[in-house]
Amino acid sequence: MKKKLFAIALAVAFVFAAAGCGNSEEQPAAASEPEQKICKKELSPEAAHALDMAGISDSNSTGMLQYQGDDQVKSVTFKLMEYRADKGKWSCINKYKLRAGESGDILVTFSVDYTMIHMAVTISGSGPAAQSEWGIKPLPNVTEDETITDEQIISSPLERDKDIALHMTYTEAADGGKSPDLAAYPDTSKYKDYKYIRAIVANFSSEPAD
Amino acid sequence: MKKKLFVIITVAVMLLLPACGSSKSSSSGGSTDSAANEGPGMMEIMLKDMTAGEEDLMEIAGLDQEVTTGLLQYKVDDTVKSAHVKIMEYSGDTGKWKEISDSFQMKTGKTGEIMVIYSNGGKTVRVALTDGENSMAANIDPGLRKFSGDKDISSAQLKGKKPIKLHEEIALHMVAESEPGKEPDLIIGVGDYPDGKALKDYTSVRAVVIEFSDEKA
Repeated sequence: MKKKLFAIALAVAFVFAAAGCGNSEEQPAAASEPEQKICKKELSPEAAHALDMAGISDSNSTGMLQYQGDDQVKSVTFKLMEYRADKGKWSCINKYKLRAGESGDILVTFSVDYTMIHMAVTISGSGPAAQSEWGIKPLPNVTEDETITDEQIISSPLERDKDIALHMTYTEAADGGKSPDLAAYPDTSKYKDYKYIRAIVANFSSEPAD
Repeated sequence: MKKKLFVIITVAVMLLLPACGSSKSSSSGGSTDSAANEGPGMMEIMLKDMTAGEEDLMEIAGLDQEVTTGLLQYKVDDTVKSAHVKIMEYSGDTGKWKEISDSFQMKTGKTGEIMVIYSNGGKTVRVALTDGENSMAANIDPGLRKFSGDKDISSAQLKGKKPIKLHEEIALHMVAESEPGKEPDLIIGVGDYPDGKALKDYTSVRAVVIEFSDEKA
């Protein structure tokens, strides 16, 4: 009889302990909030192939990005910025404000000479808000000793009202050099080795788009 | 008697099972082998069914019917070696078609995909073609005329299955311009290439045309 009681008590204790373990694992997950960031989106092989067929690559787009902000995000402003070594500062060529939400996808594509840009932003579960612009100031001509290269965002923390560099097109000597650090934007001291940079910058805001 | 019956049924089931498998693969039409076995007369080109994720991607990239053929898939037999993709333009003034870009001749496989995209307001055309072995070739012509901002624009796309015949031109996509506010009597369709009745209602029609060939690329 004692053995039976002991076995039952042990079984009950085990069941409660197991249930307790389960709870302790789930609680932090339920309580934690998603990390606020913007980063490259992992695409299925089929979707990546469709982008490839469409000719959308690192050199003419930001790539497909996904963003996660807070529930106050209402819009994102894309700024086309340029840096010239002779001026030593960033100046804004154009900016475009589109509606955004707490989370979604972003894709910015542009023509090779940068005279056309297409921006699209989705809010999770709804179609994209998109804008295309033509007649943008083209990239400056490069000399025979220079090439045009690109650098894309991989991941960055998303803070409202803070500029985040998504893509940079820059001229460099034909023999190559180091890529500009997107995370350092807009600190000009980090870009003094570059003759020219064209940057696409995103700024998430709680102000609604018009 | 029961044992004999059991053996017969077992043998019959074993024979039927592989047959079921082969009928599945030919109905899906996805394998290169099935395409090869079907031989001449079973060659076709059609708009590829996309997953919801791929469709979202096309939408966010702004690749709608006005600027692209969409992702097309083709299936041909061993006689086909290449495809010529031509960009043709019809003038309402002359009533004639004219090739407005050098044709792109590209190597084909037994199966593959094709996608043609206009960008920069129609000024640039990009033709991409795969030969079924994940080998993609792409050609770009950045020197076309931009679509007119002053005209009404309508577009058409190949949607259903279209049989392929050697050296026969097939229109995959059309962009038609018409006078603003003057609604055409007939809606343009890819079947209007090269001499459809709808052409007369438009000032200009641009068509992406493909011709499969037995010439090597």
